Order: sequence, then C-alpha cells, then structure tokens
Amino acid sequence: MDGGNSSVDVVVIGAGVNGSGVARDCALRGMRVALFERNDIAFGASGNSSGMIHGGPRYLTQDPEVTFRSCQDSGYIQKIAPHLLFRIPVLMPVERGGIAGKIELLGLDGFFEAYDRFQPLKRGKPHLRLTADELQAAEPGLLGVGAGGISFDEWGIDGNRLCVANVVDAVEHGATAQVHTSVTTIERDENGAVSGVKFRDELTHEEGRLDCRVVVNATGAWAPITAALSKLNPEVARVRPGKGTHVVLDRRVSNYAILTKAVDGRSIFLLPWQNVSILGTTDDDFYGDLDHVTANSDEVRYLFEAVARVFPGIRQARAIGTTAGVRPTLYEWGKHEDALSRDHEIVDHGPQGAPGMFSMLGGKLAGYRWFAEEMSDVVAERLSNQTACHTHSMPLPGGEEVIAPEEFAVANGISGLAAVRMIYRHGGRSRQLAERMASDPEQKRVLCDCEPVLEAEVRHVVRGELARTVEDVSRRTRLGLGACGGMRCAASCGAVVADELGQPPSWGRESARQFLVSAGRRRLPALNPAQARQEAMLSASALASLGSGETPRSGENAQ
Amino acid sequence: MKLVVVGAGAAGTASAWAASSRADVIVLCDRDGDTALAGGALLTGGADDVPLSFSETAAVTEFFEKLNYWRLQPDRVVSDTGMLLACAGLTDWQLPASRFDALQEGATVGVVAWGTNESESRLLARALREQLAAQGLHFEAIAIAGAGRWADTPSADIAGYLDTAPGFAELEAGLKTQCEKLAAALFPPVLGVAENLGTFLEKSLSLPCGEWAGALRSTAGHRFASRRDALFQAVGVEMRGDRAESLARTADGWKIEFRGGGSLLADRIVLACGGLASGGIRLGSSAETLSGAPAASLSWKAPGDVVLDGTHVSSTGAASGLDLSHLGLDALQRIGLQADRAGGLRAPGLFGAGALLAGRPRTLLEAVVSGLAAGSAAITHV
Ligand SMILES: Cc1cc2nc3c(=O)[nH]c(=O)nc-3n(C[C@H](O)[C@H](O)[C@H](O)COP(=O)(O)OP(=O)(O)OC[C@H]3O[C@@H](n4cnc5c(N)ncnc54)[C@H](O)[C@@H]3O)c2cc1C
Ligand SMILES: Cc1cc2nc3c(=O)[nH]c(=O)nc-3n(C[C@H](O)[C@H](O)[C@H](O)COP(=O)(O)OP(=O)(O)OC[C@H]3O[C@@H](n4cnc5c(N)ncnc54)[C@H](O)[C@@H]3O)c2cc1C
Repeated sequence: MDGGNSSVDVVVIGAGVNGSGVARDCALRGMRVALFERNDIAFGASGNSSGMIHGGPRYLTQDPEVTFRSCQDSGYIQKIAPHLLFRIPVLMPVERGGIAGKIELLGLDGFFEAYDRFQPLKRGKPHLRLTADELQAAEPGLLGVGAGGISFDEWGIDGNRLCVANVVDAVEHGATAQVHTSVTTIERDENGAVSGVKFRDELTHEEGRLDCRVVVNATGAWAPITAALSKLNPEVARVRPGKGTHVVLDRRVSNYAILTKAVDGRSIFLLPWQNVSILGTTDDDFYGDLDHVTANSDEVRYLFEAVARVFPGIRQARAIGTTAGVRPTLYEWGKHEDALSRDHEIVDHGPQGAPGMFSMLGGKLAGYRWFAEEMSDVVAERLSNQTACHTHSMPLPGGEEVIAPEEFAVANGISGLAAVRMIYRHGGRSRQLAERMASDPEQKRVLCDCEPVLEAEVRHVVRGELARTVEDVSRRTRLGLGACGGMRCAASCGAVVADELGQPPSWGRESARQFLVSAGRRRLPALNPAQARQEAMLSASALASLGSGETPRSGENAQ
Repeated sequence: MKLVVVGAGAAGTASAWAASSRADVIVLCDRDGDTALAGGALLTGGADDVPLSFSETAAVTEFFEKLNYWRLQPDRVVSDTGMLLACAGLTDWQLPASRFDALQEGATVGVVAWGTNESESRLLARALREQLAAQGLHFEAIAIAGAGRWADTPSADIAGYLDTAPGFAELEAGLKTQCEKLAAALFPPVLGVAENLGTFLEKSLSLPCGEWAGALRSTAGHRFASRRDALFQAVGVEMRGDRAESLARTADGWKIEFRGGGSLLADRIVLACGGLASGGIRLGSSAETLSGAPAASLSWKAPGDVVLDGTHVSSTGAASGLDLSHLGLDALQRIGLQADRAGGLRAPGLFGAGALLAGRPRTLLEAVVSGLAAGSAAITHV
C-alpha cells in the first residue's frame, strides 16, 4: 500500500494545501515522504475556500511585512502555476453619500495607494478611485447610490487544482501519496519520539503501518484530533474552527468582484470565479463533524440579502449549490470570528515530549508555499538535510508550458470551450490528454456538458491524479458541479472510473450514486422552489436508474 | 358538466380520458412535465407501488388500449446505466429483457452505437455483461458507419431523422453488415417517434431488436405526446396551453384564472400538475373556500400547504419558498398534497392525481391509476 516502502523520513498527514505543499517541498529536497489523506485531496478548507490568492491588504496597517510576503508569494504562485491563476478585479463601493461618503472614499484611496506599492510583486494593477457614475458604468448591475468606489486587483485560483498539482509533483519526486486513507495512530518510541504511523484505507478497510522519523500534522481544523492520535493532549494543537459558506451561481453575473457588507457589518463579496459566481462568506465557530460540513439555508439567505442591497439583480440569479469549509484559525479566546488572526504557526511538539512531531496551524491558501517552506526548513534541520527550497521557482505540473487554447482545440478536434477549460486545469499537461485522445478518439466524448469535461480527462485524473471515486473526479475536473448537478453525467462518469480502475460496473454506479447524494445535499439549501421540485424529480429518477437504495437524509454519512 | 384538468402528463391524460364520456373536458397544459422526461417503461416503485391486481384493472387495460402506447406486461427493461429494472409494462419500442431468456448461451447481443458514442456503448455492454453474467450472454458494442456524426445530438432528433425513409435505410444498411454475428440488437431510444422502427428492423434482420430505456432527453416524451394528442382528438378532449394561476370557488363551481389574464369556469377540477416538492400550492381552509376566497393558489411563490408523512411542512427558509434542506433529498421526493382514495382534495369538487399526491410512489403507472380514479370520481361524486 505504501509503494513498497515500510520506512520513510517524513509522514505528512492531510492533503489540504499545507500538507500538499510540505509533501512537495520535502520531496523536492530529496526526503522520503509519505502523504496520507483521509478523505480526498483538498477535501477540507482548501477545496472550499473563496479561492483568492490575495495580497493581504488587511494587514497593511498593522503588519506591512505580512502584506509584502503575501504579495511576493502570490507572485511566486503565478510563476510556478500560471495556468491556474485568473485575474479578479474588485470593486468596493462606498455606500454612504454626502460628505461622510467622500471622506470615506478619500481614506480608502489613501489606503489603496499604499497597497499599490506591493502590487507589482504580484503583477497587480494599481487601484482606481471611481465616481458613482464611473462605478455604475463599470458594473451596471450596481445600485447607483453613494460616493463612488475603489477598484483594485487580486487573483483567483482553483484550490483543488493547486493541491492536486502539489501532490502530483511530490509523487513525481518520489513521495507516496494515499487518498481516502486515515492515519489512525501516531506511534512513539520509549523516549516519546515519533517512530511511525498506522493507517487505514477508508474504502477498502485495509490497514498498514510505516516507520518514520518526523510526522507533520497538516490537518487544518482536524489538527487537535490528529495530535491526540499520538497520545498528546489535543490542546497542544488547538485551533478555533470557523465554518465558512459560499453560494454558487450558475454563471458569472458581474464583471467585477463586488465587496459589500452584510446586515451585521461583516464584509461579503460576489465573485466571478471560473465559469460561475460565488457569494461569500460566513464565519461562524464550528463544533460539528468536520467530515460532514454542509451549508444551511439561513446562511444562503444571509449572503443573498447582503449582496442584493448593492446588486439587486442577484435575486433573479440562479443558485446551483453551496460550498462549506472550516478554517483552521489560530486559537484565541474572547475574540469575534472576523477579528481572529489569519497568521500561521508551527508547533514543535518536542518540548511536550514528542520530538519529531510538528503541527501546522492556521494560514491561508495564498500563503501556503511560504508556510510549507518554513515547515520543511524545520523538518530538514531535524533530518540534517541541507538542500535548499525550490518551490518558488520550480514549476508545478502544468506550469511548465503555456498552451494556446484555439490551436489546441483545432489540433485535437475538440470544442474551443472544452480546450479552454482543460488547459485551465491542466496547463502544459494538456499535452498528455491530447496523446490519450489521439490514441483513442472515442475519449473526446463529452461526459459533463456544463463544464465541459471529456472522457479523456476523467481517465487521466484517475490514472495520474489519484482520483478513486466519482466525487474525487468532480473535485479535480468540476464534473457535475454545473447547473444539472451531475444528474446527466454522474452515471457515465461512474462507468468510466470503474472501467479505468478495473472495478465492476455496479461499483461505478454506487460511486455515482454517492456523488449524487452528497452533491444533492450541497445543492438543496440554495435551490428555489421550482428548481427544488425539478431536482427532486430528476434525482429520484437518476438514483433509481443507478439502483439506489435509501437516500440518506442530511447529516447522515453517505460513504 | 364541465371538467377542467390541470396538467397533461400521464395523470392528466388518464383523468381526462376517464371523464370524457360524461363531461366536457378541457385540459390545461403549461409545458412538458415529468412524463415527457421519463424513460417510458412503467416502472414499479417498490413494495408500496400499485399492485397489478388493483380494482380498476379493467379501466387501466382499456385506457392503455385506447392510448396505444404502453403494454401492461410485467418484465424487465435495460436502463442506460446498464441496470435491469423491474417494470409493470413497456412501450412497443423497448426490448423486454425476457427476450434474452430465449437466447443461447454464448450468444452475442449487439449494443448499437447510433446516437451514442462507441465508448458509451462499450461501457453499457460491460455493465450488461456483469448484470447477465449468469446467463452467459455476450454483449458487444456495435459501431455503424456514419453513426459518429450523432455524437452530441439529442436522441429525439435522431429518432426524427430515422422516421424518414433515407434515415431508416441508412441504419438498416449499416446494421446488415454487422448482424450476422448477432443474436439480438439493443438500441438507444432512437427508433422513430411516429413509427416503431424496431418492428421493421426485426423483420428485415431476423433478430430481436429494440431499445433500452433512456432517461433524460429521451424520445419517450415525444412519443407519449403524439399518442396522447391522438387520443384527445378521438374522444373530443380540448387541450389549451395555458398555465392556471389560481382556483376560486364560485356559488356552483370553480373559477380558474390564468397567468397573463383570462379565466375559465368549471364544475369540477382535477389537479394533475405534477410533483409539488417544495410547495407552490395553497389550499384554503373550508371557511375560506365557502367565502369565495381563492381556495388554491398554484404559484410557486404561494406559501406551501404540503404534507410530509402526515405533517404539514410550512416554514420558509431557503432563497425563496419552503426550506426542506434540513429534511434531506428524500423529503423533496416524497412531498405532495394529501388526497382521499378517489383523489379528493380538501375542497369539494377538487380532485388530485399523479405525482402531485403525497405519500405515493412517483411512477407512470401510479400516475395513470390515480388519474383514472380522480377522473371517474370527478364525474360521479357530488
Ligand atoms: C470559507 C473559507 C474561505 C477561505 N478563503 C480563502 C481565500 O480566499 N484565500 C486564502 O488564502 N485562504 C482562504 N481560506 C483559508 C484557507 O482555505 C485555509 O487556511 C487553508 O486551506 C488551510 O489548509 P490546510 O491544509 O491547513 O487544511 P485543510 O485544507 O482543511 O486540509 C486538512 C486535511 O486533513 C485531512 N485529515 C484530517 N484528519 C486526517 C487524518 N487522521 N489522516 C489523514 N488526513 C486527515 C482532511 O481530510 C483534510 O483534507 C478560506 C477558508 C475558508 C473555510
Ligand atoms: C427523468 C425522469 C425519468 C422518469 N422515468 C420514469 C420511468 O421510466 N418510469 C416510471 O414509471 N416513472 C418514471 N418517472 C416518474 C414519472 O415520470 C412521473 O411520476 C409521472 O410522469 C408523473 O406524471 P404526472 O402526470 O403526475 O406529472 P407530469 O408529467 O409532471 O405532468 C404535469 C403537467 O402539469 C403541467 N402543469 C403544472 N402546473 C400547471 C399549471 N399551473 N397550469 C397548467 N399546467 C400545469 C406541467 O406543465 C406538466 O405538463 C421519471 C421521472 C423523471 C423526472
């Protein structure tokens, strides 16, 4: 199960962005690495974030060094994975009019002038101060009130793809990675030092163990639970878990991202993101089951109401789903959720009696590379590894070549849209997909119309990106995340996954069924009644043709 | 007597037919409903489904004969996911799985790629091999020259092309070169809309030919609609493309108001407007009904008065309308209005049928049976 090795240098637990980043960094430095992920790559916060690689303007006044590092790292991520980033111009309307509004606008203008100094680090454009008319010309859907606004520049990313690229690179540099595999015990020797881990494959229930000298707990909001696997007190890796929800709309409804405030004064945005829009986000302390986090309809309503105040057209928009994740925020007592630091911290559990065990707490998607570098430096020191970090300059898989979609589409006989989306996800690695399609043209078949996703890509992510279920394929390709919610493609995807993995077709149907049930649970809170009615009919029929038994209710385990 | 049936799916069609001999029937149909999406076969929906020995058997048989679309003969049908689904009956187009029983061990069934991609047919063949492993049948994807151009075309459009003489000739010629090694041929749902081309192929190729049941974007809906329209014409039922927006009790009957203006008076009403998940209908109390206030609002914006497992579900929550998210998906699939055995709803003279009803399986057969019951009740009950 571990690729033949029964001993490695480092075990990394958790394939969110931090664990994936550390696994890659350590592997590039020549360490023997094993990465374990209990669910799927990016299953937690990393795949459910707002997907912004922002430069951290919120730190500008108190800690400009953090803003500098954030912007610098955003620049690095663009360099190593240019295909994965897309520019998100942001509008920040000043809703107040009159003198008060003018003063607020001038204040913001000054603030963003300071931010502009960091923008070149991440190829960002300088901000603009806009009058109310200019604001409305830029974004006609905005309600034309207030003093005007500011536009500034940030970058978006698909967090799932970022994590997958890091894991794939780690594996290509000798690491082993196992998804759907929980670390169940962290073993320690008679001196308390880390000596190995036990693990269990959650799909096959096979168990195994592995010797190691270092364990990196990169399990985000799960960190305290993971620390307890080594018999440490969970308090040593305490976080303040904060649930965040987004609503997904079926298309891009605005030209710009729009920042506004919710009823409680919290900052809320509407974001054009890939081929959809997202509304976000909430931040609430969370004490539920981390493996089953779902949005609820109150959160959906809260977000809609907030955005509708400045962008009324949102009420006519079609919501097609939600995402929910739990931030592994650094623990502090007595502070409001939004006031908590987004900093990160490495905890060395040596002083607590467990040398070789480290926890990564907090952090952001945007700062993952830098956090991973810091963590790998610590691990390298412990293992006396002298190799320098290369993750800021070595391209991630797909980042080595920029491919022009038009030519790619023509050369491979696929639609322009399919080519654009494929190249977004796979960058230069789309050449591998082209080879597949050349040797078997049937694989050009469009499996998911909404995204679109071709059969070749499904086979590729099963073969080369560790996908083991229909849901895993969806996370890597966005299959089934469009308006139809997978109703039209889950079954055919299941058949392909089963075929590729040598599993019987009935296994593929079950995998498709599980995907539809969990996708339904994510969609339900966001649907309007007419959609919900349609959904009920379609899903009943889709599930019936997959030989469905019971449909579990919300909160029940679908696995 | 004037009866208005709201909805022209399987339930509305059955109601209208059952009442047509003793009432002037007008059917309102807003747009295609679930019947148009269905795979076509009369699926049985589990243990609590309509038993085949139900008391109205004679009426059902007669209706099916007149509609000339479904044959009531328990069998199994192949789904597009490669399952064998138990069904109470099929359309003429579909190949009943019982016909595989007559094939010899080792025989090859062709899974034809015409309107599907070859890879899709290959995976379907793979699934059928697993399903019918015990029977020792071999399922093999069959590619016909020229079929590739249909890759992204809806099956109903392909069926329309095959309805034409050149279309059919092309398919037939393509198959002839392949059929020597075949003991049967299984098709996607493309074998014509007006005509069942399977019977012609079966004769000219001398082997069992028929379709699997397609789910979404299938031709079954078009076929149903053309048979329904013919039936309505034969028995003098009028169909209008209006959407009912509200129903109000008058001194001696009902007034139906349409979206976009206009209204209609009726003595009785059968509501057969499909699944009600997440609200959309409001039945007034009996006091309201008598006072002439709207007894039923049919807008999705109306506060719901729907029942799940005997409990009224009426809280609002999600982006608009009822919040069922905490109840899970299965709740959405079960929710609907409650009626008595004859489809009577709470207001006098108002009947319900089909997927609109609570606590019943959502199948075509159930829609037909409840539709016949509501249609007969509407013309007999006072
Ligand atoms: C709603 C929301 C919006 C956000 N928006 C942004 C943003 O726009 N920009 C930004 O920079 N940051 C954003 N963040 C923050 C960012 O997403 C997180 O800080 C970051 O993803 C944390 O990554 P992680 O790897 O530490 O944790 P996670 O991604 O949660 O990964 C932890 C993983 O550990 C696995 N695991 C747990 N236990 C075990 C075990 N025993 N064995 C094996 N595996 C295990 C889990 O399955 C999980 O996959 C957002 C976060 C949220 C929730
Ligand atoms: C994809 C899919 C596949 C299925 N496959 C099968 C299958 O193979 N076998 C099976 O047994 N069952 C199947 N079912 C279930 C079956 O189709 C339904 O249970 C059945 O068709 C319901 O029939 P109905 O007449 O009650 O509703 P519908 O067919 O939905 O008819 C309701 C009609 O009322 C109209 N209407 C609604 N409101 C108004 C209004 N206010 N004014 C005017 N008109 C209105 C609608 O436009 C619609 O035409 C399937 C369902 C789906 C969604």
